[in-house]
Amino acid sequence: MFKRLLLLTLLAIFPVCFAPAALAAETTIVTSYTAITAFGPASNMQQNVPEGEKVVLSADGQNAYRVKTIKVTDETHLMRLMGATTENELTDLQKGLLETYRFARQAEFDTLKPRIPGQTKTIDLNLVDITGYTDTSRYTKITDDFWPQNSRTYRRSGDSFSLHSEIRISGTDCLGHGSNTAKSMKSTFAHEFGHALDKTFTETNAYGHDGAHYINEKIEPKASFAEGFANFIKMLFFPEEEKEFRDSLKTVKIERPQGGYDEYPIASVQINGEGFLDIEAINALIFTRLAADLPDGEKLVLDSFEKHNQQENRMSRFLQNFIKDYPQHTTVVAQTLDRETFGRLSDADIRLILGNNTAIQAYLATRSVPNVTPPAPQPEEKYQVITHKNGTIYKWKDAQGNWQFTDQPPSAGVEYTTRGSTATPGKASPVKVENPDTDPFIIGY
Amino acid sequence: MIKQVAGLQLLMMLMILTSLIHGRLHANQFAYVFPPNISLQIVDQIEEAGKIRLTAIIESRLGTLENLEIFFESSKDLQILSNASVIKAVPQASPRKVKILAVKTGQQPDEMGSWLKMGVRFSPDYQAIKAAVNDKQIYPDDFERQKLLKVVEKNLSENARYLEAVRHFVNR
Repeated sequence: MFKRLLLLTLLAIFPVCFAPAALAAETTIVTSYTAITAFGPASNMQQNVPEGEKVVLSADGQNAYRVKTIKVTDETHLMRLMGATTENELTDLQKGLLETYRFARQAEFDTLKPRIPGQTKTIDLNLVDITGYTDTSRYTKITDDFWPQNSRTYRRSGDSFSLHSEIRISGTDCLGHGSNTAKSMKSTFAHEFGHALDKTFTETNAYGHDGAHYINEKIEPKASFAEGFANFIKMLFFPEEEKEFRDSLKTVKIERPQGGYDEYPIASVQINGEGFLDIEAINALIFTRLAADLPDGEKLVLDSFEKHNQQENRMSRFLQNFIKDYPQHTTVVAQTLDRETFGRLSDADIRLILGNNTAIQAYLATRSVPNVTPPAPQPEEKYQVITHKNGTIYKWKDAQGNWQFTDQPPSAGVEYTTRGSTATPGKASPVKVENPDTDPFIIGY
Repeated sequence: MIKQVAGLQLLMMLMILTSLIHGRLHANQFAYVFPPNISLQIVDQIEEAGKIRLTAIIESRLGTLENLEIFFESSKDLQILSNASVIKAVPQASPRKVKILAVKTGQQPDEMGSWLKMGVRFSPDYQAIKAAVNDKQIYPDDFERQKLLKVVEKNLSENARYLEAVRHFVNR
């Protein structure tokens, strides 16, 4: 009798105990390690390529790398591939690769992995070791060539195609970070993992002329949604980064069509209505606050996101769906939107973004300006438009004695000084289709 | 029937291609990177009678690097005879040469091939890093520049040692 009772109990609790583990097991992160074995003129590198190696062309158009990639079986294997027997012998970037490997396998990701869209529940994680090539004065395009990214590929799966993510982590975005390198690389991985959960198709030229984006830059709606969501996933693991996102909103950057940025204090920036949701920092904070402020908020946000995940994602659509899913939280959603946009939205804007239902009307009827002050810019920036772009910048004083920064010289007779070109931001490396049969399309972030 | 299936697949491919090309985009979050502190290079390789002689060059790219601990690693088919050593300081524009001697052991190379690695653990010139990052001509964006400065200050407060390496794959 006792045995039968025990058996029944075990059968009853079995699914509860093991179902989450089984679900998580469906999704795996397949890790590979890539080392650069040689660098030189592309014509030389392409001759007599050793077996098992590939040639990667550099963005400089003249040189190329030979690389060797090997699938990682475990932590000891990874260290051996990196040419070390103990952690003490690893370079700062190699420690970052090891930490990223560990981080990607930690249990907290198991709850997110089943939310990856598509049938192929695997993510490829490629750890690129640039040891010996970190001198950016010699290897001038190393950051461009191996900048971290999530390449999303459609792969054939049976009779259909499924979305597949390949995340590349190299540490080129944290060169010189010393002991901080590993943390920065893990943070980058969490951001790229966020993209792997998301089906949004960003707009053509969504990021402007330079193809890069700042967290406080006004970009296109779907792109800002995708980046905001990826940053939200990052902040689930690194909540301390919320402050950085808030601080970034002292100003908003607007890229000019021909390149270069104008920067405005958020209190005076000329953005209207839904345009505030084109700033990824604002979207990241809306996600983060809903997750933190609502009971079981993280699950609610992720569930609603997953339920409505599609190519045309944008923040207004997400919020409307969220309200439909959880009408009892309408007021908190409205308050969050209002606060994170610094009370700059009109009642009509809020109706447009959240939908015009009775709960929204009730909120608007009692709406007061939220008690939020935009973070103050530096005093000298207060009423000043900051202009900077690649190339020469002219600094001069106008007739009122205000400093001006322009890409054209002032009128004759006005004294000015010039600034040289700006530091080169990491730019997207050209995505190469390695095997058009299996990897016909790649979308990168 | 086969033709119909193939046609359907082609149609699907075209539909996906159309939508993907529309949404295809590559972008990176802007981040300043620090100027390099150190340059490590293997400049030549002489192989004779089972011995490999290499010359490595260590250069400071920013200020004076201090307390450089140099160590070596290799694949199983090689044994490095050069000893680990310490260099007190490497100022900028004063490169140091390190001679490396390795012999073949007769064992097989590992999965990565046949290689030698020279690692250098050092204290960077924190004041020089701060001065470089504070250059508003090179790092004009205040917010992004401050992020770098925070990293430097944190590392400085911990007196963090940096570790860089160069790995040389033999017979390339």
